[in-house]
Amino acid sequence: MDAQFAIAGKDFAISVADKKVTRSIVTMKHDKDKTYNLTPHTFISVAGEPGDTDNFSEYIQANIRLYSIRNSQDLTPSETANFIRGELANALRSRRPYQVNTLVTGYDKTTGKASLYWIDYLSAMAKVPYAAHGYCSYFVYSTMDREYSPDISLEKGLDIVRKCMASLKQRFLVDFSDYVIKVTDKQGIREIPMSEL
Amino acid sequence: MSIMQYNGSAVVAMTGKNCVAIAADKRLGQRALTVDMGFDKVFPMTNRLYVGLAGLATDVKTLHDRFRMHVNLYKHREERTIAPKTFAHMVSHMLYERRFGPYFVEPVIAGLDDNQQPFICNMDLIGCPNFPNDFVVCGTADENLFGMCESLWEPDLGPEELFETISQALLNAVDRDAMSGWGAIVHILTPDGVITRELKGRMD
Amino acid sequence: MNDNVVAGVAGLTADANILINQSRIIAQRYLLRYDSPIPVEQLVRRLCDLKQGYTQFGGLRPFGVSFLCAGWDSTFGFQLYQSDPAGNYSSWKAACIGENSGNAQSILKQEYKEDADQEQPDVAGASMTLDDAMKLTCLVLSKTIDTAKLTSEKLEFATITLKDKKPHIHVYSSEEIDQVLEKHR
Repeated sequence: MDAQFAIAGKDFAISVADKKVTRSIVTMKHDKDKTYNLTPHTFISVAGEPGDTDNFSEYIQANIRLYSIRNSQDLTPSETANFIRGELANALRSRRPYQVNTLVTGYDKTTGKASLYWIDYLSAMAKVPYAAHGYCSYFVYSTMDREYSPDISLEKGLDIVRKCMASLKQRFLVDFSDYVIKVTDKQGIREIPMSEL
Repeated sequence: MSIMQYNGSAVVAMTGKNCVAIAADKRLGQRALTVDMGFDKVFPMTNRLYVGLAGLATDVKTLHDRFRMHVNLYKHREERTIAPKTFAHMVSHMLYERRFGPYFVEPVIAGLDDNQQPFICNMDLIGCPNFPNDFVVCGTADENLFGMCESLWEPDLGPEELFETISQALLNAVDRDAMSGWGAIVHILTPDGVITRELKGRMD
Repeated sequence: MNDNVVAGVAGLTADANILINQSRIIAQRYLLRYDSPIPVEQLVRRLCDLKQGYTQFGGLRPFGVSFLCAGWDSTFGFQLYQSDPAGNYSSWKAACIGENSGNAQSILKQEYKEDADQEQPDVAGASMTLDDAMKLTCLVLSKTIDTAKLTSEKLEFATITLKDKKPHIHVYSSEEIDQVLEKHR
């Protein structure tokens, strides 16, 4: 029942993830950050089986950072996404696969372009302008389809985020109320507090 | 519903006179939900050989990456590019290696051999190869594609006629399949080079 | 070694074959993992790690091979690396290995044209054109190889250039080598 979605513009990308940890009908936690920074310009947001998401994300985070240290060079968003997909795909055909849906959001310093990769728990991957995972996708995709264009500004991007949240609030069974909103662009990754949205 | 129908796809290849065409739709979905309208399912292996992969999207990507790795290693080891027939047998072998835990992908291979003669081939998900001399189809729209190809294809088509035939066959097949569509990409392989064109279909 | 790296070897060719094979596999594994070509230095480093491993333990002899690896990647452009059997490697604008390499080195030192803009030396290295470089290699070979006349039977040439913004490796045929030798005689 996680809610996560993301939008990529020309030179920025926004990712939104809810903060709930649930088990059956119980909310165990209201303030869980489901995003993980991998490089100064690339981060992921994850949804799925709670133990798997943490375990997998920390494994990915450690490996991407190890690459940066070993090679004095950060992986690009596309290389990062491919690495994550590969690890997830290998796990898929192992004794115990991870059940993790991922959105990889990044800004490539060399090309000056932002990108977004959608990866599901089967490790199908697609480079997309906007994406969502889980039940939340049935609500936010229609809003993003209508509002998105490739040349949107950051302000317009945040406006779409507001509209998506409004749609979830109005029509979705679960009340998320609080989200982590992260932006990446040429200045790097930063979080936008809900109060400033 | 089978796992082969989870993401949706349609791939077709046809022979012509000294040319061969391969085409695929561009949709990626999760059952009825469309996720991406620009998902490639046809990949170049050499400049005379393309492979189309229909089925589960994760295995489409995994297999493409593994094929590319082996084709590159072959190229460096042998100091020549792989022939379509050789590649087809390699693919067949790689799929049958996983006989009891298969990749959920049906490949279509299209290429021109050393004598510029068209080569097409398709396989089931465990690598049973089939080498017809007219056309091959696979994906969620395979039955529709069979019908279209059966009525439109004729022998010895030139590159432009072949393009028209394969495009009409694919577009009309995916229009009656809910799991595939959202435009298409067509590659025509000729002795002079590859012509690639993107098609817009009913984008709904 | 890969679509973006070409190597010349000096020493035991049988050993070199093993290392070249390994480096091809390393390069392809990288491509499989990250969907992008391996940076040149990383490939050289992995290869030298392998060589170093055989210097550390008893019972096995080291690989008796030196390499010259020429490559291109999107971060650092054109690069040239030299490696020795111990697993050391270093980056150069011009380098040589093998028999008579001392003489060859001094010719390179004299004849190599430095980059015009020394304040900001391009990583690609130099104001030399491909033709200049071919001429210089011919000169070095003619002064260091102990034969009356250079022929295609005794020489191999390979270049790496950018074609449509992608690295392109060209290994010369014997006819092409004869043409080159004729031109730069």
